[in-house]
Amino acid sequence: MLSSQTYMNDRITIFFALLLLLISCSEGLAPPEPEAKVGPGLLRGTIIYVGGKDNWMHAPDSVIAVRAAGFTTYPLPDSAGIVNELLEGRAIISGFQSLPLFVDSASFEIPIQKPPMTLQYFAIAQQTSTDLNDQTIIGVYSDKPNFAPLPITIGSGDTVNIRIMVDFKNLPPQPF
Amino acid sequence: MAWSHETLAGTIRGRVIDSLDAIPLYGATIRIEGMQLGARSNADGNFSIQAIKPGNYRLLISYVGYKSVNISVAIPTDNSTVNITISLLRKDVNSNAIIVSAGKRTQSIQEVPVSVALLDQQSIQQRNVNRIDEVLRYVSGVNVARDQVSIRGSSGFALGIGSRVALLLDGFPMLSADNGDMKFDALPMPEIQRVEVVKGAGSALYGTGALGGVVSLFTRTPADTARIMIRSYAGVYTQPAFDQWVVHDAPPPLYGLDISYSQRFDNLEFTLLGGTRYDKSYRLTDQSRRYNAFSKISYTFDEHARTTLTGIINVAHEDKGDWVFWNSLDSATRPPTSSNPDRMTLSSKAMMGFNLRHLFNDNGILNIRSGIFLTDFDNYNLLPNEEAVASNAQSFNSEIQYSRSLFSDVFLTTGLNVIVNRVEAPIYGTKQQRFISGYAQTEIKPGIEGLIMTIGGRVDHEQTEDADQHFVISPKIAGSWIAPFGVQFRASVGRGFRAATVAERYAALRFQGITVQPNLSIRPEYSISYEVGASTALPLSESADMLLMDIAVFNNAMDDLVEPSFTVTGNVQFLNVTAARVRGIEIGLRTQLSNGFGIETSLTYMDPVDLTLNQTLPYRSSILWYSRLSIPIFEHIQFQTDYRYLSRVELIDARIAALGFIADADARVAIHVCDMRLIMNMQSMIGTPLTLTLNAKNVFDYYYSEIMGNLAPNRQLSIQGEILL
Repeated sequence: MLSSQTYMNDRITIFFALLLLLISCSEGLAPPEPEAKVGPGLLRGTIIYVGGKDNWMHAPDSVIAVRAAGFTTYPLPDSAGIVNELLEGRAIISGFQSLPLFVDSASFEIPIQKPPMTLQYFAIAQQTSTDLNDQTIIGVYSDKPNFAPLPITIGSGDTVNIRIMVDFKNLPPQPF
Repeated sequence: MAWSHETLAGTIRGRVIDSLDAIPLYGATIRIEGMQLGARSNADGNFSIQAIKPGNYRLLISYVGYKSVNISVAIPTDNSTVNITISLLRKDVNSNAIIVSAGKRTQSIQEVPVSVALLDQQSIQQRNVNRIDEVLRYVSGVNVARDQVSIRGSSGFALGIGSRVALLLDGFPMLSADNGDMKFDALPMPEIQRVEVVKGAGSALYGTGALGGVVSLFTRTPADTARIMIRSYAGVYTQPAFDQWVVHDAPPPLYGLDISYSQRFDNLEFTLLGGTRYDKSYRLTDQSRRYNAFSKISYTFDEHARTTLTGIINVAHEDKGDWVFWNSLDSATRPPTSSNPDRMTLSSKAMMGFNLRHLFNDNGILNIRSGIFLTDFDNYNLLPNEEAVASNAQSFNSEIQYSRSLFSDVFLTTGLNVIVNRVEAPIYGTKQQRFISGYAQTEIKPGIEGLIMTIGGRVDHEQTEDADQHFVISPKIAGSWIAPFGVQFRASVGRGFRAATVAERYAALRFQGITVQPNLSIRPEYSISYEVGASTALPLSESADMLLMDIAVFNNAMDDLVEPSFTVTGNVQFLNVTAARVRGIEIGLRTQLSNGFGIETSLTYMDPVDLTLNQTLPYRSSILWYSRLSIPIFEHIQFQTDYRYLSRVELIDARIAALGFIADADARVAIHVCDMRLIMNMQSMIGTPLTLTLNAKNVFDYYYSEIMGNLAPNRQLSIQGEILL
C-alpha cells in the first residue's frame, strides 16, 4: 500500500510541477508595447471638471468657449502673442470651436503634424469675451499642487493620453 | 479508543490523543450529549468540563479528520473528578467537523443542509496570513476584490460599498454602518481560530447583508495554561519587471508584530492581543501603517456552568495613502496625474460587545448579544479647496436568541434582532437607519434515518429617514440526508436580501473626477438561492488515508441589484438596475494522507447572466479554480503551495472605459497566482518553541488586476517567526 501511495504522491507532484510550468508561461498585464514611430503623433486628453457641471457656476464670468492649448516655449508671451505662437507652429490648440461647456468632463484630440514636439506648457483656457485675446487659464497639466507645468513629449506615431483637472474654486496662476 | 478513571472532585478532565502516534490533538470538541455542555482540548490535548451534577453521561468527542467516539462517564455523588484519556482514530474530515454559523447553533457539518467551507486553526496558521482576505481567496467559490467578498458571483464592482456577504466576529456583525463594507484590517487575525463560510442566501437567520452568504470568524478559547504568542514578519515586494512600474528606489518593505496572551483561571478566561503593521506598498501613495488591539474576557457565573458572560473589545487604527486607481496601464503603480500625492486617510474602527449565554434546566439556551461597531475616517494633507471624504458611523446591534428541543426530534431556534445604523458625514449630515427583525427556524428529524429537515424564516422591517420603509420576508427550507452508504445529500432554497446602505442612498461625494449623486428611492436587493449537493469520503488505503469529495449545483436568482451606474452625464448613482442569475457547479476534492502529503482542489464554474440586459453579468469570472499541495520535505519541514486561477472577467461596464475616468479600465487578464511557503518547526528541530516560515506570495510575479484600474500586488517575499510559549 505504501508503494501505491508513493506512486500517487509522485503523480500529484508531477501534476503540480506541470501546473507551475503552465503558470510561468502565462502572460499577465504589461505596459503597452511602444508603437512604430512613424507618421504624425496624437495628443488625446480628458478634462475633468471637479465638482461636476454644478461647479461651472464658479467659473470666471462670461463663458464663451473653452479650449485646450499647448506651447513649446515657457514662460509664455502675453496673450496677444499667443496667436503668433500658433501661426509659427510653436503652439497647438484643440480647435477654434469650443470644447463642450457646462459638462462634467470633456475630451479632445490634437494631431501633432510635426513630431517630435515637446510642449513645455499645456493648459485649458476659458475665453471670457468675444475677443479671442481674453483668455483665463482654468487648468494646467501638472503633477504639483502649485501647478508647475509638466512637459509633454509626443513622438512620431505616438499617442499620448493626458488628464487635466479643472477646479473653478482653485484656478492656476495666470501665465501672462 | 481507551480510557481510564480516577476520582477527584466534580469535573471531567481528560486528554485527547491520536491513536497511532499518541500526539495530543489540539481543538478536539468534547460535548456532553443532551446538555449543550462541552469543552475543547488545548495545545496539550487536555480539556476540562467543570461543575457537573452527579449522574451518568454520554460524551461525544469529535475532531476534524478523526472518527467521533461516544463514551459513558459516571459522575459519583461525591462530586469527584473523572479523568479520562481518549485516543481517536483518524478517519475523514467531513463527518466530524462542527459548524456553528449555518444554523446559529452547534451542529455537525453533515447535518448542515447548505454548502459550508470550514477553515480550522491549523489551515489558517499554516497559510501564514495576516489578513482574512488571504484566507478567503482560497475558499472554493469565493472571490475577493480589495475589501469586497463575493460568494458564487454575488458581487461585482461596487466601489467597496454594500457588501453582499455578512461578516461576523464571534457572532457580532462587522459591517460598517455607513458603507456596509468589510474592514479587513479591523479583525484580530492572530486570534482567529476558525472561519466558516456559508454559501448562498442566509438572510433567513442573518437578515440584511447575507444576500450571497455569511463569513463567520471565531476567536480562540483560552486554555488552562498560559499561552503567549509573539509573531513577527518582515519582507519586501520585489521590483516590477517593467521599468515604467518601478516607483521605489529599493524594494518596498512591509513588516509587522503581534503579541497575544491568553489564559483560563477557573471561571475566568481572557485574551489580550496587540499588533502593528507597516506596508510601503508596491505603488506610490499607497503606504499604510496600522495598529490593532483585541481583548476578550469571559466569566462563567454559577457552579453548573450555565451562565457565561463574554465581553469583546476590538480596536484598529490605520493611516494610509489615498490610492483609488492607477494613472494608466503604462504607469500602473502611480496615481492619476493631477491627483494630490500627499492626500492621506485616517481610519479608526472599534467594536465592543457582550454576550450573555444561559443554559436552562430544560436544556434551552438563551443568548443575549449586544454590540456596537464604530468606524471613522477622514482625509488630511488636502490641497486648498480639495474636498475631504469623511464619515463617522455607529452600528448598534442587539439580539436575543432562544434555542431548545421541543420534542426529541424537533429543535427550535428563534430570536429578535434590532440594528440601528447612525452615520454622520459632512457631505450629507446625520442619517439613521433602523432594522427590527424576528426569526425562527425549526429542525425536524421526520423519522427517516439520517434525514433532517429545516424550515424557517425571518421578517425584517427597515426604515431610513427621508426614505421609504421596507418589509422583507426571507423564508428558507432545506434538508440533509446521510445515506446508509456514507454519502451526505443536501438541498436548500432560501431568500436573501440587502437593504441599501446609508452611503448608497445619500452619498454626494466628488473625488478624482467621479461625482456620486444621492438616490433616496433605492430599494433593497433580493436573491433566492437554490442548491443541491452531496459529499462523501472514500478510503484510499487500508490505513486512515481518505479522499474527501463534495459537489454542489447552485442557482442564485437576484433581483433589484444595486449597482454603481454611470449616468448619461458621467456621474455615478447607485440604482436598482439589474435582475441577474448566477448558476453553476462546484466540485471540491481533498486528500488526507497519513504521511503528511496532501492535495486539495476546488473548481467552481458559473454562468453569470444579466437578465435585464440579456448579457453576461459584469465583473464576474466564470471559472474559479483553487488548489493546494503540501509536501513534507523532512520530518519537521513542510513545503506548501497554493495556486489560484480565475478566468478573465468577461465584461466590465463599457461606459467607464468610454468616459475616460479610469484610463485603461478594460485592461484585464485571467488570474494565475501561485504562493509558496516553507514551514520549519524549530520546536522539533532544536527544542525552541519557534515556527519559521519563508513566504513567497505571487511567486511568479504575475501581473493582473482584480478591480478596474488597480494592479494587484506583485511578488512578495517575507520571513515570519512565531514563538509560542
